[in-house]
Amino acid sequence: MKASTHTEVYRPFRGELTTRRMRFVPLLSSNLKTATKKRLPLVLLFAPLAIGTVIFSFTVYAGFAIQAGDPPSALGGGASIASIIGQALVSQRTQQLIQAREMIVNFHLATNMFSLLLMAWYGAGVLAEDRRLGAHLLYFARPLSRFDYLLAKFLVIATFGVLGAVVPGLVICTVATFASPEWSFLREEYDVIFSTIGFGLLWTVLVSSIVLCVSSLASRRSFALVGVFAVFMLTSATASIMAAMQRDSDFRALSPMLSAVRLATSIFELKARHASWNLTLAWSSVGAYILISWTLVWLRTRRMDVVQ
Amino acid sequence: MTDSVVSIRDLTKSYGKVRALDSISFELSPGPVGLLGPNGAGKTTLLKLLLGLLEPDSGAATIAGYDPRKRADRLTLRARIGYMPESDCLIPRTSAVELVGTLARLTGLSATDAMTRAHEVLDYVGLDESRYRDCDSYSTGMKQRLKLAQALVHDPPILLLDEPTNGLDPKGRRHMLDLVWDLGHVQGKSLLLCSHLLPDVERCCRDVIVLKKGRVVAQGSIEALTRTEARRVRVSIDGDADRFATELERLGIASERDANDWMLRLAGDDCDVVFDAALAAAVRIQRVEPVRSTLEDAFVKTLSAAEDERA
Amino acid sequence: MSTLVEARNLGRFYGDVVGVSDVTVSIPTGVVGLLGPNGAGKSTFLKLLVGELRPSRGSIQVLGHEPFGNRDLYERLGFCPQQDALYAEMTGFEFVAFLTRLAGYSRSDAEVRAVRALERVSLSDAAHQKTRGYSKGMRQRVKIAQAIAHEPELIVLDEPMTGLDPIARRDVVRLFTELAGEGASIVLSSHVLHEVEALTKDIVLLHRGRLLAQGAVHEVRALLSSHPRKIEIKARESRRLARALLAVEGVSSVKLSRDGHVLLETSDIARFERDFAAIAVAERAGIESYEAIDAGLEAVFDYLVEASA
Repeated sequence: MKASTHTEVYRPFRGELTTRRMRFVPLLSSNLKTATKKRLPLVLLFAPLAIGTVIFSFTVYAGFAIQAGDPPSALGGGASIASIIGQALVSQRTQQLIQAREMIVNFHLATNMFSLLLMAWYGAGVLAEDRRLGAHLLYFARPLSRFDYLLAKFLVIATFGVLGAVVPGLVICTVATFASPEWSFLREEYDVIFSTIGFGLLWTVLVSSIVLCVSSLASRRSFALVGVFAVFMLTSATASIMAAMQRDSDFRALSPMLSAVRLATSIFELKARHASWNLTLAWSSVGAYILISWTLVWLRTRRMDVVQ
Repeated sequence: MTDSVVSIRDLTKSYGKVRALDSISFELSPGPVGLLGPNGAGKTTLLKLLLGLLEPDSGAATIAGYDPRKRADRLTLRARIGYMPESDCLIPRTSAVELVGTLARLTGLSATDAMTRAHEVLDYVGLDESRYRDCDSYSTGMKQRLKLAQALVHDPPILLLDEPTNGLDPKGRRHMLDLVWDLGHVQGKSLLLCSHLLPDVERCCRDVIVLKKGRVVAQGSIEALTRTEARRVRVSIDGDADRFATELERLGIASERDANDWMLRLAGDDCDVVFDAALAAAVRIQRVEPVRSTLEDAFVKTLSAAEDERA
Repeated sequence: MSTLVEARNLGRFYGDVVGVSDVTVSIPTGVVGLLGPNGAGKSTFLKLLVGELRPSRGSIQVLGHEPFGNRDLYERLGFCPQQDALYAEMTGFEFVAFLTRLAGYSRSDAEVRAVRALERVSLSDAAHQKTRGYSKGMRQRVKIAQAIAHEPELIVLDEPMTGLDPIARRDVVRLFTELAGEGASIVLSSHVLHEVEALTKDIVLLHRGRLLAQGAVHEVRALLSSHPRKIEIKARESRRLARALLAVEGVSSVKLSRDGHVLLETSDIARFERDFAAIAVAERAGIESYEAIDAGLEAVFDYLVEASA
């Protein structure tokens, strides 16, 4: 064996530098990993959603099971209870399917706030903390364009949005599919699945854009967090008050949340509970909020200077 | 200059009416170069240009083989440059290893290469066990070393170091300057060191570029800019100063005196004659030092000369 | 020479963390450098000095009085902190004038003094711009201006040169020398040793919250007897000279450096200096320079910190 020493302190890098197509991926995965480091918030924020999903799934399943004359033992044994519940739930097949559909939509509307909370919690610091701590000085000295950077950050928020707004709905749909007799849910109400995905994505994109925007404007995460809630609550409050005062439901378009709810009723093809207001206006409102958010984000990122 | 890694010719960049860079030209070969200049001289703009963050208005430039006038090149050239920012910069809630690793992957290294390389550079800068801790809690010295590590991870041929010794105590400063010296002289990197601490620059760099108001007002080796003055020496003694003065006169040496510090003008090639005088006068020599202008003197002189030129 | 600062068993703790621990030191008037590695307690000591903190134990007296909560003393002190805390909406002039008024001067007096102070730090041109638009160097100079505007007897500065370019640094060093000449005392804390050396020979060195050394640099060096003195001699015929030096009593080691210079160590510097002239004359080795390389502030600092590590 020939003797040799390797005492050089600095070793040159002999590997390859690839120009990957999707430059934002390492940033996205690293940010997601950092975000999920702390277990407690993860558990606390996902728990209500998980519990809600389980309850609604069970209710859907129970509904189908009762209708089939086979009540689940969890509801307690005995035909008496079964018949009571059976009477409470209309026993006609078509209506049962509609019930499942309504259940899913109600679930969405009920859990809107939770997925908003998720996106706000994990998304508030996404640009604010980077700027506060100077991380952008490190990122932009890399072959990473501002667009790549923003895309990665947006996708971080959107990941939580999808987990909170799309996945639970899909879980309930899956349960409904398997619980319904002869896949009737899948055969006759399959559009609910598409609507679930569609609305979930729409809600995710809307909220993520607004959260990204607020994060770019705030100087630190806590301010951004407050800011996100402020935006949603103030717009909803203003919209409702104006609508009541002017007796014109169209004012609801001022609020992104209310506009989204309006779109939900359309996407899921339901009869609206309130006076149905202008659908085009709702779409425009959502579109406008997304556009304005991204414009502001873009303007703010241009001011993130690397060398001072 | 076949081995110039950076070649700039007549480069101009303006912001509205302000000429941040006014037709500057220089070449950077492997080795450390100090970038000096008063605040507002255009150093920031130059750094941004070298990092491909700005498009030049006119002139030609080649940075590691890329042309910053082309948009695509401006992005990819960053894989060949390492930048150590002056300001505080951290990625929130990540450890040193994760930070350096992510940045390496963003530069184009594969995941395994990135991790291997991250550990190597962290070894090099001297961050041991603490590399697994979140860097939010690091001391100033550790943060500076981390900044250097992330600039080195992709082994770029060009390094831009902005005030690397900021906030470091004397020991930390020495360690950092040793690393800078090693990178420039031994590893052969083209290193641009921006610092207001001229002794640091003198210690690490062979050449300097001095900017003022967007122009290069001086460029060249520190050696050339700080020539020794012809045969003038500073001498400190302890003992009978008057006797020493008499002996110097007897030997025909011109002198100026300030208490026990003397400024002598010698004729020959060396200073042996000073010891002749000391022996005869029975005084103790404590210091014999050829007078050499410091980089600071040269810097001040160059800048005021530039001022006069314009007037 | 009167005493500027008198600290006796001074201690300051932040819960379990030690800031300053049992420091007894007597600092005379004049210019003094406060040095120490990071975390040594310099900032804590300075804050105790200007009355921003109250001692946990022991006492400190500045100009004969206890500084904490002492309004009268504040007017005789000027403090330039390390942190950057300027009111962004004020101009440099307004900021300095405002702080000078707090020192007890009337509005017109304060304004005159502010103008003069800003002139001394070469900030007259930008004095009427809002500090929000100031560069780092300008912000630093404003801080120095507010510390000197009310002509305090004692000026305390924490890292005053950060962000200043070499010309500004030189100007500030000149300014401090002038102020010292005008009778002010200066306590300055800095990591940049060569700048402290340019201003003063007197130092106070802290380490781990304790006093490590005080006094003039060369005197402190003389006390470090465990470290023999190192001398570097550049000569044309260094090898011959080295051989001759090895024969000298009191020389403990002779080396040739990588550049071919002679490096020698001696434990009795006075005796060596007496004997060397004769050797130089006898050998005629073409000496180009002769220098004690570890007598400076950096070497002293290293020896002391390493010794207590």
